[in-house]
Amino acid sequence: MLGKLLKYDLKWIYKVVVIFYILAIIFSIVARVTGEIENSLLFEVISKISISCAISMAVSSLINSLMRSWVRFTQNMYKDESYLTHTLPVKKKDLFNSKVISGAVCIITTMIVILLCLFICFYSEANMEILKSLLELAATTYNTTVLNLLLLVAMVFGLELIYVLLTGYLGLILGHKSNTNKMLKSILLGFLIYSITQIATVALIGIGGLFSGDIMNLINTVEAVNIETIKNVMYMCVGVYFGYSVLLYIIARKQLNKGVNVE
Amino acid sequence: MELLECKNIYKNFDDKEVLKDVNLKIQKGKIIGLLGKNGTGKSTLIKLINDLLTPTSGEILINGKKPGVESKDIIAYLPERTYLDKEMKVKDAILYFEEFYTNFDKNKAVKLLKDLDLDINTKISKMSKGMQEKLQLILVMSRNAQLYILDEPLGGVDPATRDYILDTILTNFCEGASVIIFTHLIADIERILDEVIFIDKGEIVLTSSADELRNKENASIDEIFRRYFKC
Repeated sequence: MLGKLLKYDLKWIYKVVVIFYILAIIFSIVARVTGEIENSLLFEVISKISISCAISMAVSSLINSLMRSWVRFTQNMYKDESYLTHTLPVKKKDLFNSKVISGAVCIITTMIVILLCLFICFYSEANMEILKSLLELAATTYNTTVLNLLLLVAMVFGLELIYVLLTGYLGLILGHKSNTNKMLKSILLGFLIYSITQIATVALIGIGGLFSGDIMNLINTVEAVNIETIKNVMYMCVGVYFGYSVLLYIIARKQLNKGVNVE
Repeated sequence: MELLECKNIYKNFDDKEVLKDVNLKIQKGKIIGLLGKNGTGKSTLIKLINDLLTPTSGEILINGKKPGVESKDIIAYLPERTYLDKEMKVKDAILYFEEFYTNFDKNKAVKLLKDLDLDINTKISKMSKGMQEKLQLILVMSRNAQLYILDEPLGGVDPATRDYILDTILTNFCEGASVIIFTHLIADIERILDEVIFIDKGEIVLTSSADELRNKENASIDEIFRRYFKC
């Protein structure tokens, strides 16, 4: 049943997000093609505008991925469509898992599209050489490989976005437990959960600082921090966002299992 | 074993007590009218049975089990509102029901839609509200369920459509199944009822066989209802 639910959830979310993907890619291609034409002010202007448009479409697709996932969750779980959703012979955990997976998949594909757009806009042998040497320099400084470095950065961003997605879901679940002003309470609770977890992150880094003078310097001073510290903080972020995502997922599932109160 | 049993159900919305100590037993093979004025707790009860609301206290059992995957597989529920994704076409809605409900009879649905002259390629958002309600009714009645729960199936429709709806219900519900119709339009449905339940101010105030009640009061159910709920 999870597969069937996923099919409908993904279809609904991608219906709009794909438009942003296509526009972002088209603008990237236009930017690329017009940018290749030399000695033409007009094409140079078109290229610059297209790059701006491509970036704004890429950012919009990321915002839309999150927004559509939350809208889908609300409509499917608490609005008119919930009368069908909750009467399907499907486990509540499958309903929730489908929403989480579809949102996460959409975030990941959006990140890939953003990278693709950047590649289309800016790829050249010279740029690749610069990027490669920068990455190699960073990887050497971080005492790791280029692949590991890229994976680490992707994981931090990906996990952070999934954590934001789950924050929204939990806010919606808790907000809809109330009998009045459900949407307002959902937004406020989502924001509150986000704020509390962010404060907790700073607190966790502070606790890390108790054991590492370098990490404490990151908080206390404006001095340049050594690379090893930044690397440790990034690893910490991966652990923290992963931990938050698991925690929010468990709380949301438990709350959903207690039952819903549709509008 | 009862098909549906509600034991000491209470439902509060903040301080407001909407259902008070509701006890209900529904047998197999009956058509039951759950009748009451607007705002007496009918919709709340229906939502509780369908796991759309959580009771403040009490227990609901369907075939002896709490609401869950198994109970949802045997209950066909028609809500008062339109619950289909408006972006879907009629054929998509049929496919959706076919995918999720093992007891959905696609051929029956297609035949009923054909009788209604409804093109399966029509987008739901392009259909009138009345047609959307008919589509939902067809989808629900095309399931070989054990219990059909219909919330105000005649609400806000013209008399000709009411006849169509009642005929669709009567000719399509599965043999041996029970049908619960929640409504305040009693005159239209009383001819098909085996049992009646009156609900008032969140409490079940009367449960009786429709014939017995008619004979005892020497009046139609509609008249008895009007007398009972006189303002």
